[in-house]
Amino acid sequence: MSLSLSPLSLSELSNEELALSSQWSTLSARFPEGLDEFNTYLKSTTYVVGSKFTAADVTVFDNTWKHLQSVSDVASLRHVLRWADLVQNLTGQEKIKIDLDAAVPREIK
Amino acid sequence: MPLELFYAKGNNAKAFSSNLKLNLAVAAYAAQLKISVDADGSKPFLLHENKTNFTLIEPNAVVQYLAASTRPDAFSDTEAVKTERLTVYPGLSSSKFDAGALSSASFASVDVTSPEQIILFSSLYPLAKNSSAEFALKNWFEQFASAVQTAIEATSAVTKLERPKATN
Repeated sequence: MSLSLSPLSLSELSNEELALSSQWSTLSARFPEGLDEFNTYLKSTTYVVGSKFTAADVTVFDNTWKHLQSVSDVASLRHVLRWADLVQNLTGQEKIKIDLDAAVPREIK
Repeated sequence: MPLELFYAKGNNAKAFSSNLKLNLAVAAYAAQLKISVDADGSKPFLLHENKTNFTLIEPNAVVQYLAASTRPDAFSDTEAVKTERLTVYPGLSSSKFDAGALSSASFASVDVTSPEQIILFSSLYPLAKNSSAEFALKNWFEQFASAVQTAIEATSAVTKLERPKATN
């Protein structure tokens, strides 16, 4: 059973959240350039604008999923893959297969 | 000062565009802020807010965020912003200027406090400043450039543009 959740619209966001939404929408259009920075950003946040699932997650996911279909080094993009799996589950649109049993070494902080 | 701004590093067209956006945004919306040079290279961001640790690394978002205090349209994804993102900005890597790509954007008049005009002009400037080609927004571009000479000079002082290496 898949859980489908409607994202918050941009009109419900603060200026800081709108700036993050704009930033990652812009940068995701240039992926794979900037994909590593997105992974680093997601290390400490759940969604694109922080703790809220918003329309920005859907926009950025639409720009990102094709770059995640054949990732050989899962560890290097672990946070993006975690976020992408969450977004595709929330929207009910499975675009990428995530191997939940993949052996991933502990992250060195 | 809780909000800090830092110039982008590098001497290429992308860095010039980023730094021009910062200079124009500060002049338009936040004259009390100073932009610092990240001398030791330890700041991987353009904007940082100490108290909340809020950071931005993308210059269009910085322009929009600074504009948001006075402009309700700050975050509008207009034709001009889309044109900059999808067709002008990619040309900064190769220094290729596709004049035809500008046909979808238009402005009624020059407005140096408009976020969409700041964003488009700043990415267009390194590509079109020496271009003799005609393009849809040339009149607006030249008027905008005349109005923001101080910011262009300030940007040139911190970002020396290097000619891209020729490829065989």
